[in-house]
Amino acid sequence: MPPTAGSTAALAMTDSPRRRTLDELMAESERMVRVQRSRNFVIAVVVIAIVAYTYRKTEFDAGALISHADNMGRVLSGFSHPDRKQLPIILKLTLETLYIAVLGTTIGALIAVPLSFLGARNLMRRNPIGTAAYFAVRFLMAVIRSIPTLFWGIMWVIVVGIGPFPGVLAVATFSVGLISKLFSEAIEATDWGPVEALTATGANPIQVVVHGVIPQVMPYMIANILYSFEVNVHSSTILGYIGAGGLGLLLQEYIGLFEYPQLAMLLIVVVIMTSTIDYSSAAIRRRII
Amino acid sequence: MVFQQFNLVRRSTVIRNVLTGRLGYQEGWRTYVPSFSKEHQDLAWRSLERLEIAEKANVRADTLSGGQQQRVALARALAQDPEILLADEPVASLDPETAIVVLDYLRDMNRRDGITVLCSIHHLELAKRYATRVIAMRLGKIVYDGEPGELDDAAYRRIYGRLGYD
Repeated sequence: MPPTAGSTAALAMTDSPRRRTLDELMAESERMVRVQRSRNFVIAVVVIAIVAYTYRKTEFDAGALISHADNMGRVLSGFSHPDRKQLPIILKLTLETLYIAVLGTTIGALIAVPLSFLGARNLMRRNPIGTAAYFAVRFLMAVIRSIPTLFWGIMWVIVVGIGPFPGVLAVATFSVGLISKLFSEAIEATDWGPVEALTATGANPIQVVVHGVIPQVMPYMIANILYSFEVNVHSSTILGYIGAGGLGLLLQEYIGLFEYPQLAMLLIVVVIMTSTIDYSSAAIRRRII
Repeated sequence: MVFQQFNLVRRSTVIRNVLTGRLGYQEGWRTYVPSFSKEHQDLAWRSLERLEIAEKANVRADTLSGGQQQRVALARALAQDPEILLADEPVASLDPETAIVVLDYLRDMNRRDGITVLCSIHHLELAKRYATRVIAMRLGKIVYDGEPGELDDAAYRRIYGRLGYD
């Protein structure tokens, strides 16, 4: 009897995907583990090769650390008798450093927060105009962040002259790039369910953002601004090196004149200030998220 | 222990998840590296087979459906060779059909392996069908303790009756 269309179809179904035996599955599992191990081995070899290459190219010389240990000793010896007479000027410039960080972060945040919404993929990439704005803002953020605060400082010193003012501008500029990147990513991570629910009530896009997105991202905004403030305190301490205010000026002077006890005093103050700020800022961030 | 949300390591393969059931029995250098002896591996595979999910042994856990993931979690618990199995709402995130499949496996583990199963559950019907003893709690107090067959409407009202009416 010639096979009918129905019977061939039934036949094809019975011998199509055969259930694999346990032995086959176990063999496959072992094979996968072996493949994974050899892949990891290759990756490890490549990474070690890259590290070895950079070791040669950077003139890395572990021996110099030992043969020039006396130089390190000279600097560190300053810590045995830090120069307390310098405290008034150090504290004055520490305060100036903090002022630069506070004002710079604030100005940066004021610009960055609105920009962040324009740089959030989930809000913007819904029509051609939004997409264009999204890419423009993302490009701007990338450019700002690719230039370090110190270079922004040089730029602003050229524009407005030396003093804390160009320092504030440098910190503000960099903060725009940093905060808007972090915050736009926080906006992209929002729970989309409530947004759908608000859209279903007939809310317009602005209303959706005001009532559905902003309440969700508020703690992240504060956390990102605080984190940016920490980073800015760190970079403000060096800005004086290029004439943009704060402790950097003293740092340059002490190092230039080999005044290690004075340098030690300054570093002690910097460590206390930055770790206090890092710690309290981290504590606040933990509490609000 | 079996959980409502399965708690598999989502990025690991199914077999590797089941093997973690053996961690408590490992000794020596292997406790510090992701490697298991032949006996541990055999036990893990047997557990997977028992739960009829060995086909999926080599895929990532997060590619499976909820019911399949819960079966893998059961295999992990079974590989642990436990005396008591705690199941914390094991079927709360599953559809009714899959829930029955999972509870059938739990009952089978109880009957064939002599593992005591302590299972928390919200569905009274399922509790009546599978349990040998039902303890109902309300606001932290036991309001029913007895045979599943004696769970009647009065008992239901005592357990789920509207708060503030009694």
